[in-house]
Amino acid sequence: MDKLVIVGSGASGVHFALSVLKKGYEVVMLDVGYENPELVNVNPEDTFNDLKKNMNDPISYFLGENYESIIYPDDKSEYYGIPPSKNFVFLKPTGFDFQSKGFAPLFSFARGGLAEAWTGGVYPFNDHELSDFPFNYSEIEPYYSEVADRIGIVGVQDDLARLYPFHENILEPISLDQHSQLLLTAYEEHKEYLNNNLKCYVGRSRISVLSRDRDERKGCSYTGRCLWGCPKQSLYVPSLTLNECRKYSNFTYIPNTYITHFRFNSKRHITSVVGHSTNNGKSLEFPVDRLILAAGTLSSSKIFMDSIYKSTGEIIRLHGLMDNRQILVPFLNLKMMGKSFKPETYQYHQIVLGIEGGRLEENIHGQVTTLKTSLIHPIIQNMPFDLKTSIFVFRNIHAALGVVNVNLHDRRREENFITIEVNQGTANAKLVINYSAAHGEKALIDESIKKVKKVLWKLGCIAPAKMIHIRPMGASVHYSGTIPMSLTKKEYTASQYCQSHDFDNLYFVDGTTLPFLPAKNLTFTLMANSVRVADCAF
Amino acid sequence: MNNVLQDSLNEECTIFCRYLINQTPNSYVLKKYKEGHEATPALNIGADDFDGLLIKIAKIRPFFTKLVDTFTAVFSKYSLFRKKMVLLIAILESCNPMHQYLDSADMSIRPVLLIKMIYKGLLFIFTLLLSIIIILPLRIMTSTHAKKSNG
Repeated sequence: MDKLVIVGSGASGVHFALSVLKKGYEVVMLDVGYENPELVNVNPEDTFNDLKKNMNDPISYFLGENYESIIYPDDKSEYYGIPPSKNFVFLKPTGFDFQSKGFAPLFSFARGGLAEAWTGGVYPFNDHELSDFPFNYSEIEPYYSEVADRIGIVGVQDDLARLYPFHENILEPISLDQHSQLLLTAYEEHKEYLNNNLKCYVGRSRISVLSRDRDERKGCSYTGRCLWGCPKQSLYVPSLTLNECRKYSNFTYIPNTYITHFRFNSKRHITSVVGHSTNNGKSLEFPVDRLILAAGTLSSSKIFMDSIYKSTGEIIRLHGLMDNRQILVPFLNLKMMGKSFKPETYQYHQIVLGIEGGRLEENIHGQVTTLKTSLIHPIIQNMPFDLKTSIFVFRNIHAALGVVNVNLHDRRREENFITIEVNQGTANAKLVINYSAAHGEKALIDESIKKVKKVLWKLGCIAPAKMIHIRPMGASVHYSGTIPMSLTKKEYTASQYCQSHDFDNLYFVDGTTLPFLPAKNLTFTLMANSVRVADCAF
Repeated sequence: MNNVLQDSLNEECTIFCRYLINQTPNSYVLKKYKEGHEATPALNIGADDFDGLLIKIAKIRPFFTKLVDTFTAVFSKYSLFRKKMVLLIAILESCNPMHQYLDSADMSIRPVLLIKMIYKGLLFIFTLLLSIIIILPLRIMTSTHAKKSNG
């Protein structure tokens, strides 16, 4: 059997690895692999508020040793930040450099990748959304079900099933918080109008969290610490699957390794991968039978481009970079005003609204997060009053607040590309990203916001226009599409099993090969696709 | 950090904490407020004349803190004063027992809550008008002075 070398330990890489390990392949995973630091004096039984009482220095835990998690007033302020315990997810190795126009990318070189800081939404693509793909839903459905079994997904078969197919191995849901329950009740009361007039369907989120104990992972115990790191491993993160891979004797995990490019011979057959140690800078080279790039679209594409440059001197452009535009629509539920919020609850979104447009491009996916435990200073400073008044108002509307995270689709467009820039005298090329919004995007955003506000109004909520925040492109981190799957063999494309059409022993199992990005989180599809590739092509 | 600056920050933290949540900060909060300043360059860059003046005014008594808070909410959202207040709010929400106040609702019945909100809203507007009369001229003066100094 071929020796498989995988670069990257994110969601798609680890699931691909697990599948091929079960088949008996010898697998080497090369990874920079920044680790989640071991937290001392953090009791896994403590709730979010217990931590404030029981820790010696809770402020360092919540705000960071250097107060780096505080969001200060500026015109780019977000409503939430990354907690210090997740800083490791965004560390970059020395020498990694990029330049970007029209795009604010995030990179992860962490063990487990970007999904170590995700919010757990898992939404399968339906047939309509897969129409540009070289496979349909029935072909990928078994792999959605397989991944669901591996990671644990909760959900119910409800009205959302028409937009989010209901596959196998979905567990019973976790408890709903009071505000989310109220929204669902309001939906039931106004369902006919919402479905018929606004083409809106509301239902329970599909989330990768356990509702009951399984092996070493515990069922959700509602500590409200989701964003800071689930203390019971109830919320799935890819490093859990990496740990599972490491139990196999035919798996070798090599961290502290930054892969920059591969070498190939005159027959365009890859012979080795090259990089360096992030510990001491020492050059490293590993022989390859088959190479699987799972470093994320931007990093995998960079490795591809660097490889061609180092061998031929040619600097290429990869066109078609995609990402979901995200819009945050905060809302206030009038029925929840004056109530106290309950901190012992699941912190992330538990409700989703899906709005069908006339065309696929007009579909809206909205994750509805009701505000429970969170750092509140970013919200308070964005209220249109003095801070003391804002605190009074906020205390009495905390339980009534929520935000719809609206996701819109993206298509591959020639004007959006990535390339590299080589500076004489430096070993590493710089990644260059060029992105511009589609013609008509403003109108689509305006129309989407209008639709979401109408839905919220029907559910008893008001959405103050001034607080709507259009996130910069790149913020959703659903990067994809630079080397798309294509049934036609063309340069810089991949086969239906994600095998490169340029190098016969190269595969991509991350978002690099997606030919279309629907208005939906893609991580679940990437995991399922990687298992599909492992099953069909190996 | 020298003692004068430390005392100034302690005084500031105490005044702002009493203003925001009607509580005196404990030693942990005072320590963290000081550390937050040490760790955050944006809080230590030499404040321009107007920023420094706002902080001095805000420390006089709660009425003036309110005036500065209201003025900066509309006219100086990114001011040093607001950044200091945001640091303090972030500290208060992250430790016990201070977070309990921020996490609790008034629990008034909805009509009473609505009346309180309307009152707070009217008070905000009134204070804003007052701050325009008192603080805006100071802003113009400090801008003019700065332009003259820069030649």
